[in-house]
Amino acid sequence: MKYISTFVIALFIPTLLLSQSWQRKSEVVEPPLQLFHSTYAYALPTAETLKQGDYLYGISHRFTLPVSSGFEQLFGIDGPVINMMNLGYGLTDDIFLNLGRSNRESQWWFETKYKAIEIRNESLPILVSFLGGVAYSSRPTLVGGQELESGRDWHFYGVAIINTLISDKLGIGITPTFSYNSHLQCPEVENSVTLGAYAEYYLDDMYSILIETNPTITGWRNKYDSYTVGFSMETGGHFFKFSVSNNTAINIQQFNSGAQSAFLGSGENNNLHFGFQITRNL
Amino acid sequence: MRKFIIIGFVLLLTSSSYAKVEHQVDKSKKNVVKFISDAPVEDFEGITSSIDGYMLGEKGDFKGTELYFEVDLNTVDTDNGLRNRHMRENYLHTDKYPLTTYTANIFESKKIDDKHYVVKAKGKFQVHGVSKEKIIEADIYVYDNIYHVKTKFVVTLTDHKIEVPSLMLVKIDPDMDLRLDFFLKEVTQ
Repeated sequence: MKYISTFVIALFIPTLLLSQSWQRKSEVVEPPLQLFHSTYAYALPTAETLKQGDYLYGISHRFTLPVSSGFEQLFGIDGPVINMMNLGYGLTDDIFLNLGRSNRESQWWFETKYKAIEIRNESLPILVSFLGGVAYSSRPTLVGGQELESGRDWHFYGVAIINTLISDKLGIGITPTFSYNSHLQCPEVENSVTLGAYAEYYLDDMYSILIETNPTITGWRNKYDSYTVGFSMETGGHFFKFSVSNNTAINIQQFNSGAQSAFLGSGENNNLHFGFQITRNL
Repeated sequence: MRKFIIIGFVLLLTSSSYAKVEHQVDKSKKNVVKFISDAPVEDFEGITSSIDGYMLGEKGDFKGTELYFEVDLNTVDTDNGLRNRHMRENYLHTDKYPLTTYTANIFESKKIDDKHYVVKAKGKFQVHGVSKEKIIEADIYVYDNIYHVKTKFVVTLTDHKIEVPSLMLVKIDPDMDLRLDFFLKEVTQ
């Protein structure tokens, strides 16, 4: 019996010595925390950025004729239209640059978004980004012989963006925003502080419904706070967003100055405008 | 005394085992794992260098060599951040199944020349938490203590309960080509 055990030990010595020694050298890589799928809700920014080196091209329309214009004018789609194009770039995984142009006041704008804080939490993950932007109205719309003082055609704004995603389905964002020189048609420089908020519910991998509002907390505002409601379709590298809003402005600077008609009004005030956005991530 | 003689005798009998050497993936080399999809609108590739694993077998003869390789799917880059995210979250579910693995034994080894062997391995290929038996053929080039492995094979997504992705609403080919080109280095115990 003693010899058998010795034999067995001897038999297994080489096996013990020669079993593989490999061990995983590094932990499995954790992908970046991403909550919303798109870099913007409608007009308001999400905390998302692009991967370094990725581009984004976007085109957005908001029809100035209201939906209430009826079938004769195809619910406003006959136009005219506020048109915006933008080109985004991921400078790093956390810094997103975005250059845009809107035909409203022929405005150029440039924004930088920085993803600053990621809090990984099973039930309430949080992303915080900061966005700073500058806009230049190259062909301002002036009323009643208004003359612009030097520098009035420049606008500046800053946004803090806080996002979360509940149960992988419901994205919620708030965007406190400060705008300097909110609206060109104010006789003097006026500033605005708004508290944007949006929620997006992801129905499945492709479709989501999205609401957005941007109430003015203090400072100058057009007649009404802004509201936008619609849905989004996501396929491959594209987002297609369709919505109605009481604000015809599309980019942050102009959207921040408020809406010209009520969202749930009647008569002249019931001026919801149809719009769509298409963005392509390259 | 007799005990030592027995141990010595058995060790002598099993001395062929001492010819076994372990090679591990050499992370310092340019390792490439490519996932190639043939899509109707545009083909795309996912690339990563995050392959790890080992081969354990006799030097000079690959037959009987054990092998294990794994690829971290979170690192696969399709050159588009949004597509990477779709791939991770919607199709591969890498939060649950971050690794694809192949555990196998080489059952056939053909020497082409002094440095080049063509081998066939049979084992379990696992992705998306679903394992399937798979025979994979590979070319192995032997340079001193380095193995250079090249292989390509097809993985049918539906075999592993992976939903076939769509691009621009059109489904891609469910058969995805995998091409691997990587290096292993002998481990000195």
